[in-house]
Amino acid sequence: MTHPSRAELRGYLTSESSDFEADTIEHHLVGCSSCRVEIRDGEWTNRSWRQLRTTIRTPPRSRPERTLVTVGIPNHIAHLIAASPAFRPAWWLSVAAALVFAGIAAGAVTTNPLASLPFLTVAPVLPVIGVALAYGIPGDPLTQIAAVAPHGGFRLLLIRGLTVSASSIALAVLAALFFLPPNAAFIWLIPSLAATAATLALSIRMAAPVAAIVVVTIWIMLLGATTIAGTPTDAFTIGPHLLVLAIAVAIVGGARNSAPSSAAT
Amino acid sequence: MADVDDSDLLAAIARGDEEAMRHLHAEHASWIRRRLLRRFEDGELVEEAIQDTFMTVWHKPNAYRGEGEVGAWLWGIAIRRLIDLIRRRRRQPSTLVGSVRSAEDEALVGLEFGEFAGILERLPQELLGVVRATILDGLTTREAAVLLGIPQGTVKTRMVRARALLREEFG
Ligand SMILES: [Zn+2]
Repeated sequence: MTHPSRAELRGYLTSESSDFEADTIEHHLVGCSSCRVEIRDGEWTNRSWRQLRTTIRTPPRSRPERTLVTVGIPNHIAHLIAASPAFRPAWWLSVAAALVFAGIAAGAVTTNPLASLPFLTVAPVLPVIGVALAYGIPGDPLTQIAAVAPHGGFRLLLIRGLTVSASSIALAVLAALFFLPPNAAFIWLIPSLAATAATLALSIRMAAPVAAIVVVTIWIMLLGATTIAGTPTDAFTIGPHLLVLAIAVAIVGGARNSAPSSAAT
Repeated sequence: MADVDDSDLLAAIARGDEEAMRHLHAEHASWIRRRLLRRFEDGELVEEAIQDTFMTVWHKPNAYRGEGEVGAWLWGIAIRRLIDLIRRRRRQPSTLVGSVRSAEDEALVGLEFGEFAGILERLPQELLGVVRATILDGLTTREAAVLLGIPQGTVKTRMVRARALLREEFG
């Protein structure tokens, strides 16, 4: 077979060859390695390869992630949700264990109105721990993304925090139905939601684990105070108010803080 | 340069050999890109088609059955990936992409490069596009219609005219 000349190959690359010449060269290139080398754009090839290599090395999607995508959740959000602790067996096991222990402790003394207290104490704390975990598990690459991206970071935390809290609250509902007397079964729910919201809101201003510690501390101190006063159930009506206050403080303070920093970027 | 056989590279890729994949890409990506760009001037879409093509090869290297040149096989994947992307962009339903030509297509085409090379230059531009898509690029009339952005019926009538001209030429 006769090879096209260098000048002809150059003409092909610069679109100066006639249609017929170009068609002939293309026909020839299908089977001729040495002419392919001659027209190779090395710089483009390297770039294209790097991109391809990245895709090749990206691990395939996990099953929860694929499910979320088929349900219609956008790719990047599905990726964030699937990476949250809510999809790790360890998380479900620890939440379930905590609820069962609290439930057994509550069930031990059924006649006492304070009997449900261990469960009622633990239930709002679990989703808060979930938020703190969603912020970062050591060795999780998404933790680094959260640390680097200032605004994306909070959105990431919000998405993951909400999925984790939802999972723990769902388990707590099941446990409450099983362990608690009907009249007390759900008084923990509002404090749970308020505590979750407060932790997320406080995370605007501080690291999520610190926010979690603050919220849990508020909650335990309140329970302690109301128990000493002899009316522990007050904690469940006062608690949400106090936590909503924490949210308000966090948001007002966060807005004031974030304004100059976003202008600076 | 040492000639590594393309089909050996494909066998290595089937074992998950990334280095073999790099060689195959280096050998073929650039000319395929050129050839795609000559068919469709949207560089972004062509880049995507190239990435799709080599991802397909990475996942299914065994789809090459050892018939014909590996280059021709790769081209067949690449041009169809591009057509797929064009169709998706225009939001046309992806009903087809059988790479199998119908009997009708075969009747319209049924020529080899060498047979018409001599008179290719003298074909009117509009006929040339259709001839190139069907005979040179091996597309079905439906695929050619998507690539050229014209109705399938137009592809067929142009092919009939092109064949009449070719027949005249050969006597
Ligand atoms: Zn050559």
